[in-house]
Amino acid sequence: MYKLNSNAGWMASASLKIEEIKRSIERAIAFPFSLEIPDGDSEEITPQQPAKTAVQLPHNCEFDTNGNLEKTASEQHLELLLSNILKYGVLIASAIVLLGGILYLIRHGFEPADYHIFRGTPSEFRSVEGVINAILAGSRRGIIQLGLLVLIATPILRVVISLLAFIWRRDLIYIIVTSLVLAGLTYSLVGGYY
Amino acid sequence: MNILEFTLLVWLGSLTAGFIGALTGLGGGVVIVPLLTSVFGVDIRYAIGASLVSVIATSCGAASTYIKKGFTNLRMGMFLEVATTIGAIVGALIATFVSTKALAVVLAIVLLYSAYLSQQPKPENIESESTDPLVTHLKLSGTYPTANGLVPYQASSVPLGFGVMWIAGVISGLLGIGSGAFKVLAMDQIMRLPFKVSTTTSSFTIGVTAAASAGVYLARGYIDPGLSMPVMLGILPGALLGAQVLVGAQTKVLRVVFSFVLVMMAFKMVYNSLTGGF
Repeated sequence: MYKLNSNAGWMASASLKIEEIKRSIERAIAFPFSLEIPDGDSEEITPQQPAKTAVQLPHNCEFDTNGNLEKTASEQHLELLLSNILKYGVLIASAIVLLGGILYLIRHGFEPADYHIFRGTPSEFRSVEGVINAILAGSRRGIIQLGLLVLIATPILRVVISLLAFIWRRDLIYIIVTSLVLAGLTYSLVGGYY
Repeated sequence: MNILEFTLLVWLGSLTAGFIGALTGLGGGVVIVPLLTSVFGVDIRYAIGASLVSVIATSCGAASTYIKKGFTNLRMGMFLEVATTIGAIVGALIATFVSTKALAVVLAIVLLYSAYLSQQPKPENIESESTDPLVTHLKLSGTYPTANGLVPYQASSVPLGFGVMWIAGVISGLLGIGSGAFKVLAMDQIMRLPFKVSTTTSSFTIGVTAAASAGVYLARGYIDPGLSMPVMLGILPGALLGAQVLVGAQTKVLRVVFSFVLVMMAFKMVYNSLTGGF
């Protein structure tokens, strides 16, 4: 599932996956109040879903026939969406880091390594604008740092999407819960500079 | 040592750390920080920054798979993230002004404790009665797949679990590790969730926890691209490989050996910090 060896192969598949993510967003939005959705609906969706989820369906069906609707169709769409965000976020970030890393080693590989004394990374690698400017100025370490920023953004995006899903469902407690988490993350990313 | 050699060695070390970390369930972060500091002579602040980003990568990669398999309790994870995020920011802010010697000693204690935890038996708890009104209010109960189909479970002692998750967040922010051992402790031992639900929900929360301290570390210049690159690209495939092998692997001997290594690393860290190493 995680093909880290061939770069080109999975950049191509990444665009396909974006389609898949889009579809799961649409599905998540299409069935927000799934308590009203009859069981038959989950069968209709099956062909569109990737093979992995289809394998899980027997469990879910069994679950629904028990009359226990705690894990609803929209809950499953949200799970699938979050799962995809995490997976492709990590894959895209790794690809950028790998690309930047190879370019960095080609140019700087034979310089001496020195991490013994802490100086702190140069200021251009400490903020989003700095990293973008560094890349535009031809910095190869900047490309690695961009990959790391994409990586840090991945769980944050997951929280944002969860918040939107809870707002859509008018689930007040979890709107508050995810807002608190997001406030913490925002403070860390913005407040850390002051 | 030039950058190319250094990068390759760190990559190999991280690959091994990720692999063993996944096999023993302790995570790669707790191993990579002492490895970078004691073996490669990296300053502990760079080591923490590099470990932290690799922790985000493994957590997100693993969580993605576990969510699809239906083990992860999303609501529980999101609720506990409130505690871990706040804890992580507090921990990261503390880390920026305490001495590196103090960090080394705290890490040594965490290593010893992780070694101890990994020796404890892990029974599957199943409790069907709800003991906590918060559980129903926050909709924290759930079901998880087993060989006999979906099994429902309840959570108990939510406030205490929340408190321990806060401490886990502080440790994560302070040392740049996932502190999965403490998160599992909170969910498995205190909240009495099934072990599989605890581990998978723990890895779900680790990514957000680490991202919360990553902001502070990034601004302070702890996240170095040249060092983080081999660490992240090593730990991630190592951990994914370890998770594949884990099913049916004989982990008892491995746990003992790994705990021994952790204890040795802990003593070396304390020794180095007392004799003015690093």
